Amino acid sequence: MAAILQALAGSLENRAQVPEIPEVFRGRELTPKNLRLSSGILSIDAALGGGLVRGRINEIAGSVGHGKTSLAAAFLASATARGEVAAWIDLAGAFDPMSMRAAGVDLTRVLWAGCAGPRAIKEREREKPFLKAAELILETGGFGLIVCDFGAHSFPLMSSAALRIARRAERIGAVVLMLAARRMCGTFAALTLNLVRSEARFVRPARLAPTLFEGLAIEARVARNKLGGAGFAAAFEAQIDPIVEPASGAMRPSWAVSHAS
Amino acid sequence: MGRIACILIPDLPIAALLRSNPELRERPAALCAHPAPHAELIAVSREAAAAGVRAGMTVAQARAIVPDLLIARRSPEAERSAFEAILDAAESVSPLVEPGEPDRAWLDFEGLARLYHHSEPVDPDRPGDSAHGTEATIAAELRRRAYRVGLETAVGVGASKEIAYLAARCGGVRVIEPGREREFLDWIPLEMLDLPGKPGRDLELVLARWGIRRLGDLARLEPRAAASRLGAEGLELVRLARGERLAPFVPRRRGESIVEIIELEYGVENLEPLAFLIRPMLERAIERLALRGLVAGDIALEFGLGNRSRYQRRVTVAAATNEVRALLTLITLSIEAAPPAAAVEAIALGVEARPPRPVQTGLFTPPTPAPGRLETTLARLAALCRPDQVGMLRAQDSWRPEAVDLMPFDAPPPRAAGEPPPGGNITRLAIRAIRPAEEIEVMYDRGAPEFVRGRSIAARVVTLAGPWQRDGEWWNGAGGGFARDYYDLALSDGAVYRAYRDRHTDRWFVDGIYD
Repeated sequence: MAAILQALAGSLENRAQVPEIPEVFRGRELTPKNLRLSSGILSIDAALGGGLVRGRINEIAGSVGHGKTSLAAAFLASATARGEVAAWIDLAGAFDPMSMRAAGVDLTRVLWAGCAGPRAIKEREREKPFLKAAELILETGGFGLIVCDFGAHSFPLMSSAALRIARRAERIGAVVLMLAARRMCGTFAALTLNLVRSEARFVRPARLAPTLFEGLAIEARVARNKLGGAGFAAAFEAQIDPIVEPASGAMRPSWAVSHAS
Repeated sequence: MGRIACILIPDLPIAALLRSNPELRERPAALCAHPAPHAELIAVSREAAAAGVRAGMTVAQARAIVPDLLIARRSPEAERSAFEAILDAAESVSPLVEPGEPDRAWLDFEGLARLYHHSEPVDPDRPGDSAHGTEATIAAELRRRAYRVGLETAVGVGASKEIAYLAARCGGVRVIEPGREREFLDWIPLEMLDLPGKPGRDLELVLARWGIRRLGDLARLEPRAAASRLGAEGLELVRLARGERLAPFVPRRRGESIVEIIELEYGVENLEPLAFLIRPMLERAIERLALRGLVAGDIALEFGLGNRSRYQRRVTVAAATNEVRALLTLITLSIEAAPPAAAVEAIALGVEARPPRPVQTGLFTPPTPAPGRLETTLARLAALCRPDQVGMLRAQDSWRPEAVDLMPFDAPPPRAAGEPPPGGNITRLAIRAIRPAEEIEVMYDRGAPEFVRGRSIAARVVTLAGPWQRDGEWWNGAGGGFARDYYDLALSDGAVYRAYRDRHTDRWFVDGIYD
């Protein structure tokens, strides 16, 4: 543990050498760039220089199953614990309140807007209400975090749409977090984090015990950071919540009937 | 002696017609019971009257004078909506209002001066109107608010309901100062006394024979002598002329919903023209709500159809708002989902009134959305993404993972930073739900799943954990329960899926991806 903390401290010291001057507040900027939203995951916060940048577009890119949703849930839990109101705009219709609640998200402070629509509609057509919803929420103001979950959407955003979202995010100082398989906003994103799953942890506690799925080990790399340096890497583990009652939000394995695979 | 105001719609049938069809304001128009050439006109607009058309003429006679005269059928429903609108305007000014159907309402003006301090011009159109400080200002404000809901009115203020009504009959804004009631009543001609105390035909003839033309002449009669010669009706008239008849003021409260009704001359079959007709109705209803400081909740639609049937629809508004565009989109989406079976010939729009939600902000709490703006945004989002796709998702108290509820999203109160999320430094693994669960085909090898194939999945099973049995809801009766074996499957496509086998049907499904 001591070694980990030492490594983190070293990482933070390295961060301090990045030529970033948070006190400088450019005239055209409406939100100071030193305001961050922490995830509560030390390694990730250290790599990002404190967390996601407020008033900017942040991206988490990675294939499905590589930990994007878990990391977004950590940011969401952190924002709602601070008393902020958040929004989750869902192009895939994949928001799962049980696991979000298990991750510590206060669901009463999360506005969910599903824009999945019929599958027959082309991706570009489904994108329009999705972006419009994001703009409406940004116009409202008062939201601390707005998560735009693109799911498996494959087209990058039009520059004009990304610019509109970036401008509105800056005006209200909200964190806009894009979850997608690839980078969506191009130059308009202040920060891009690429996630790769390094391992799916299946363990057998004892020789005749059943195999258990423990979680995912995930590696994150900062691919782009306009307000700091890119190339920093971090690793974290997302663990499954083994025993949770349904009212509090997750599943409980039935140990008595499980068997080894 | 109190102070009473009377708000009067001078020509209600015509006013209701122009309110429902504002584009007719400049056109000569007239109303009749049935649009036939021999039908008599009931009411005529100002433009038609200026051209020489009078009520009582037949349609053919009127058309001979004004060939392009617009003849419309009188609509009692539209008149009722107009009357309700007047009551809304009155209630926005005074808390005590007495409806006096069909075309007037009385308001208690006593003590209102404390609420209205602003000094604005009494009536820009009639600068010569009597202006007596605050009462005139409030009366002018009342008239302005009535104009906002689409009606031109006259307002009179006096010591009693009768005097206020007679003052309103003079047009514009008229305030009768305390102590000068007799002076005002003296010059009122008897023709103006249509209510209350309209003299009967015989009584009118008797008074004309006596040379009595105005109330002032009547007031000089001795009440006892008038009673012995003219009867009880005459006595009431004399007491009115003397300013002694005081009908009691009886305020009444109304329900918290707004109804707008129009009847169409023709059937409407398409959605677009229907929305075009509903929009001004909605705007008028919202304006009435705004006057009362309320916002729109659920909307009840009722159409009268050409096949003599009724079409009813209730539009749920997740977040109360006064945003017309968003509400109209919700209405059109609702109609589109279940269109009426025949052409629409009458439209009734009921809007449920809700109080706006206040919020107390703090200096040391993170900002939260302003309730009013949030409500508008929620309504627009519901129109954009469908009402069942916007709100707060909540897991049900159930063992079925897919059991979620969509609750209305209420503006959460601001609060300071609380405890860190449970779980400490552990990052919990989230699941991307697949809704509805995707059915898959599973191939086995020595009793264990070996290959999985579905609409979007085709991969080899690398590792698995499970099964975890989950049963429940058997108490709901036959077919109501579920019994599933859950597995966590790491597939060769690189993702870990949550899959289950339904023990009742022996079918496999994937309902989530660990992400």
